[in-house]
Amino acid sequence: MPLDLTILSQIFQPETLLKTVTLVVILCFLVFAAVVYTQIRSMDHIVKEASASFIIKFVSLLIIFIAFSLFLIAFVIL
Amino acid sequence: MPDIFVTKKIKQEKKKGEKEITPLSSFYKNHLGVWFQNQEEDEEIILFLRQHFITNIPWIATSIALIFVPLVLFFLFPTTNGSFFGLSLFTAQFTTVFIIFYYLVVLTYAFVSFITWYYNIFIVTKKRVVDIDFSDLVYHNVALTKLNLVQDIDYTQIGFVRSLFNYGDVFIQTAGDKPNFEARAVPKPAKIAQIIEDLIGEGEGNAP
Repeated sequence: MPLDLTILSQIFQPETLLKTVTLVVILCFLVFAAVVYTQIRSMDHIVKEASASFIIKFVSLLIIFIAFSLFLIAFVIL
Repeated sequence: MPDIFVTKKIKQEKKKGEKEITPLSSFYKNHLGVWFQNQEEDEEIILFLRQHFITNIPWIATSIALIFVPLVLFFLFPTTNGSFFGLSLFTAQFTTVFIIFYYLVVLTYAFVSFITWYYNIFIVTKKRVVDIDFSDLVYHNVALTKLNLVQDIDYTQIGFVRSLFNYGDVFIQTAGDKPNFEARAVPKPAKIAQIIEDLIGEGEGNAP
């Protein structure tokens, strides 16, 4: 059975590779943002400052939300 | 009726010198609004320290510079179709995603730098010294020692910037195998050393 090279050539198209790399990088960033959030939660148990605890948690969650939205947008439009 | 007296009492307590801490505080004496792990109910926080705010200038300057990098690039390499550097591979959609991602990374860099400063805390209570270290997101360390185990305190303040903004390093030497404590780049190191010495003196005075 002859090997269908059209699928392989499509995979190795520069556009496909670029999209894959972009999605993987954003996904890695998403994991990093989640780690930041867990560390903040962990530190919040060690020391708590009433005036800023909420703001710091909010910003870390905002970063996760933007990263996740960006991943979805990149998946759709690229 | 009793409520009126309660309110008055609270107001009087705050007048004694206690202050509400703000997120950007790096030196506070007798403040309210902070709690740390294993803090005893009657354990009053005397000093709450972070590195001097001026130590944040490098990452703040870097973040501001990074904000302008895409603008400079687009000024240097103007495009007509919205693609990155005019290359056909980098479409307008890709450029949009890339720029949003870039600014997200800059925001995260600034945020992580801020929390690294924010969670590096040195606390002195009437009973203990607490050193909370946080670095590289994956490492945090909490060290505690009782004030009666403190043997020696000294501080250094070397350099023009440190003298100008009055900050330096405070070293606390403890007895036995206990690790020594270091409060790096904290404001008013001489005053901190004096306050801790006074606290130790008070403790020794109360000892039988």
